[in-house]
Amino acid sequence: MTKWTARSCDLIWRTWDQERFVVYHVPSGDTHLLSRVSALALKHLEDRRLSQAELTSLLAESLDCQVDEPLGTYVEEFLVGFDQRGLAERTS
Amino acid sequence: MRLSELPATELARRLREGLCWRVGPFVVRLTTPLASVARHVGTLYADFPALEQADVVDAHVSVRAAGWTRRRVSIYSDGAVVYRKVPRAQAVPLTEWTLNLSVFHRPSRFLLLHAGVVEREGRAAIFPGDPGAGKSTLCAALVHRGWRLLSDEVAPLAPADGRIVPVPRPISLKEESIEAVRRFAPHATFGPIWPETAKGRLAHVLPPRESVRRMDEPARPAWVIFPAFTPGAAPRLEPFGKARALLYCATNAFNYDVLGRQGFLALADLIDRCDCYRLSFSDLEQAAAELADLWASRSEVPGP
Repeated sequence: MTKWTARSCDLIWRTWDQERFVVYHVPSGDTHLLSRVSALALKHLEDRRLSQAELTSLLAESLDCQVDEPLGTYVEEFLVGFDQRGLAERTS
Repeated sequence: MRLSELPATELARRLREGLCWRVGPFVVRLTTPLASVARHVGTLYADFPALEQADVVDAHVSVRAAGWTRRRVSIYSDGAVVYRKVPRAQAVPLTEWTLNLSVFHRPSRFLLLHAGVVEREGRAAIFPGDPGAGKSTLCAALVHRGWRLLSDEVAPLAPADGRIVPVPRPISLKEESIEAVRRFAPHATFGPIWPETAKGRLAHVLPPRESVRRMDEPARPAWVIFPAFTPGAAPRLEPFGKARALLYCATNAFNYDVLGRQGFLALADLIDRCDCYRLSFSDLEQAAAELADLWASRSEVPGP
């Protein structure tokens, strides 16, 4: 099963506004503005390696909502975005 | 010795051989035989210290007549041509732009934010903005209402201590902002109006003598204010999200990518310390009053 992870040493976080988070990706030098939910997803991946399904469940728990198709699609989009930007990577 | 203390003939002679002067931490060397450029330097850099010799020069700029009629000029930075055979009437504004380019578009220990900066009693206001947002116009106005000019175009942020280093070069104004500042500050000293530059009609304002005299005194930022010149708008100062402020400043800094992690941390610390706002304005008197109120409302000097 494909799992995803983000390396803590590659990310520097700053948070000021409740709904917006800034993360600096050290290897690329890129700075990203993340929504609260995508920031939460990336922080979960910093904590441990997770499959898409596991991440979806964790997010649902954190956000106090149901695991449903829209959330699954949302998470899939995050992961594609994280992958393209080098913020998270697949591990086997 | 200040440049204004050099007799015109001596200034012209030194410029032909290469005249060095200091602008904040940067040393520039300008070489030119052109009388129009000499007049510009003598007027708008009058209060800057001339250097007899300089061991380290940050920007070498030369302006030379070109073409067989000598009616055109070419402008060089560090020996490389920047403008080739442009009309002689463009020599002054293009020399200013080349000085800007030569000083700021090079490796630097500072994070170079694209912003104007003014300071009053230890608290600096940074005005990041796209061209036309009004940062130079605001700076030109405020420095005639008790604020000190640090820069109208580039704010060098020192990562080590988070302070802004002054670079109080002549303020460049475009189009209607020339008349707006003339009305606001009738005693301001302007250079000639250059009617047909690539950026439209343009004029330079002499930086206040006090700002130049204090150009070795960095200032601690207290505010990041995004000006938004909006014709007909009543002045309105509204909070601006810090995360968005950081992104905007990073995107528009000249060397954010070069400084990497150090640049991010310096910028994040700046945003941490500062209150961030957006200022919509159309009238300089009202905008200046709005900023005076803001200044008065934050009485403490920002700490280290």
